Parts: sequence; structure tokens; C-alpha cells
Amino acid sequence: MKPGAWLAIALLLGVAVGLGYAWGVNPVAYYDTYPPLMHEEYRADWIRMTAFAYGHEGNLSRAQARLQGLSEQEIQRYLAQALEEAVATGRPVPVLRNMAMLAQSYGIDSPAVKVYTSSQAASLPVVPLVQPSVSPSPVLTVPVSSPTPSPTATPRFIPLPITPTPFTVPYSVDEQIPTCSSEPRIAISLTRVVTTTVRGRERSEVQEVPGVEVWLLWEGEADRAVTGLRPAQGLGYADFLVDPGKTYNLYIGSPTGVPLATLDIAPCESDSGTSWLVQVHATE
Amino acid sequence: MKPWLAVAFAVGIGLGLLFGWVLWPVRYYNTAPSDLRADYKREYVYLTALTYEIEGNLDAAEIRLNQLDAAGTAAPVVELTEQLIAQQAPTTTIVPLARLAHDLDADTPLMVPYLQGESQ
Repeated sequence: MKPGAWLAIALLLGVAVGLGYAWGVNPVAYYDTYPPLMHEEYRADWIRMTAFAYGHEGNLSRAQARLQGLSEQEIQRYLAQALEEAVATGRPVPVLRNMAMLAQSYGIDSPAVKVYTSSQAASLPVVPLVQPSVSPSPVLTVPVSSPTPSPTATPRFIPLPITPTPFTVPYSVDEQIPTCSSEPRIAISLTRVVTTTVRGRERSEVQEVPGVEVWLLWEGEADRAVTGLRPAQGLGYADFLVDPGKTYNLYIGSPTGVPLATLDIAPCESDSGTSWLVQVHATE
Repeated sequence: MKPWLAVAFAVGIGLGLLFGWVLWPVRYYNTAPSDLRADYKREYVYLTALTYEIEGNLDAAEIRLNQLDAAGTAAPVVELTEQLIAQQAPTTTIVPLARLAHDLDADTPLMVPYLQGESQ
């Protein structure tokens, strides 16, 4: 073999030994890493915490610095998730508003972002972190699931007593729909009719109303929800989990005076359901 | 063995180390919070406190803090809180940390002024 070949072999052997040591035996230690190098699970949590922190602080430049270097797609995905989760668990409205603004600044256009960045969001009531003592359960802790009743259920319609006027608040019940559901609940969809004039013609449009307090009182207990905190169900939507066999008084705005409706949750006769799902369409 | 072969081998090792450590070092993409640089670790602790302030989930906060592999779960919170108190940081920054330290049963006398309304 020629001397040049031996030289090349010795050199390559040396490179192999050097690389083996540098990569395998004693690699560069990355103990001073930064968030983009973390495992995806930790990156997701970092983004989520940043969203909550922004909800608390409202400091955009700091939030942007925290998210620096992370991929746009990942930021969008986890910011949107954090906001949905915060909405579903009934976090305070100012926090949701800030989180929605952060999400919007990263190009997220989900229903929750629309609700909490809209001008209507400014008038949403502030939901305290600690629920009122009369409330037996936190607001909107029910799992997110479709309120659509079971298609196989054939409920027996029981006319529910609707308390007549006078109301202390300008709401009235349009419709009560009793249906069977495996998760008995009272759902409300609050709407108002907005009339606009276009080229001399009046046009009426039904709009859902977010940010209105809805109260449910029964047997000395109370629960409260705010419409629009589950935007996937509609901006005017709020619901309560209820127990069959009980009678509930529904109030809008304040749990005082004459209830808007009194609702009996009667047992369902169908095999597939256990009780009634009652949807109240109220019109402002 | 001829000396120039040993020289070639040594040069090869040098090149290997140069490539392995400097030009193409091992990249770790899946690091943990415990590998974060000190300033990011402080930020991580602060974010944990702010998230706890909103979520109120102490278990989740403890899980997060344990990822830092510190001497104790509450140690990074106490350290950062006392550091910020010493630096006279804004009260709004200190309070969430002091509350978390308090709920982890690790509050110190320095934190007392920031725990108004908390049961001692």
C-alpha cells in the first residue's frame, strides 16, 4: 500500500476516534438551554403558562419575549387551547379578555377570541375567582359536551310552568324544549332582536347576547353562570347540570324577585335518557 | 510505526473533536426545565406562580416546580421571592410568589408583608 493511503487511513481513524469521543463519550453539555429546546410537553406548558401570565399581567412585550424562538404554529395551537380551557373552566373575564388579545396578536381567530376581543367583551361582568358562597359548585365546571339530545329518545312532553309577567328584567321566554339527555341540564340561549334600517327598509336580526348572568335557585341552593363563556355553544349560551326530580327557578341578571321560569326536571320515560334537557330561549 | 502516521492520527483526532464539539455538536432538543439557563429558570418559577394565581391548582404547581430538580419543591420559589424582595421589585410581582410559597408551607418572615389576608 502506498504511504499516502496509510496517511489517509490514520487521519480518518483519528477523526472517527475524535468524533466518537466528542459525540458519544463527552458530548457538549447543554445545561443552559432555553424554552424552544425543551421537550414538546414542556414547551406546551411554557406557552400555556405564558398565556395565563399575560391574562394576569397584560404585558405584551414580556409575553412576546417569553415566546421568542418558539414556532408560530406551536404558539397558535397551545394559546388557543389555553384560552378554550380557561373559558371552559370559567376564569375571570379580564383574564379571558387578555388571553384572547394575546391569542389574537398571534393570528388566532377562534370563536373564543372573537367573543373576548369584541367590543361587547368590555361590558362582560367580572366573574370572581372565588364563587359566591351560595353557589354549591363553581360556574361552568361541567365537561364540554354537546347539548344535543339523544336521537333515540322519545320524551313525553310535560308543559313546564312559566311564570307570567311582571318581570323585573326585560326578558321573556320564547320557548322551552324538553328533551331526554344522559346529562340532565338546563341550557339557556339568550338572544335579542336588533332592527336595522337598510335603504329605507327595516331588517330584524336575532343576535346572541354574551356576558349576562344567569342564576338557578332550588331548595335553598343557588348556581350561577354567565352567557358566552362557552362560545362553541353560542355567544348567548349558558348551562347548568341539574338533578332529575327537582324544581329550579331561573333568573337572569339578578336572583331576586319573580323568576323568569320555573322548571321541573321530570324523569324521562325513554330507556336511553334519564331526565330532561330544557332549553330556554329568552328574548331581551 | 512511522512517526508521520502518528501525526496523521493525532491530527485526525483533533479534527474529530473540532467537528464533534464546535462545528457539529450534539444537539439536545428535548431538554427539561431543569436544563434551562438560570434566567429562564427564574421566569419558569414566576410563570408557575402566576398560573397558580389563576388556576389555584397546587398539585399542578408542585409538578411544575419539581421539574426544576431543585433541593426541594418550594426552594426555587422561596429563593426567587426573597431575591425580588431584596431587589425591591414591585409588590405585584412578589405577591403571587409569596402566596405560592405560603401555600407550599414555605413562607418566610420576609414574605409576611406580602401575605396580607392570608391565614398565617
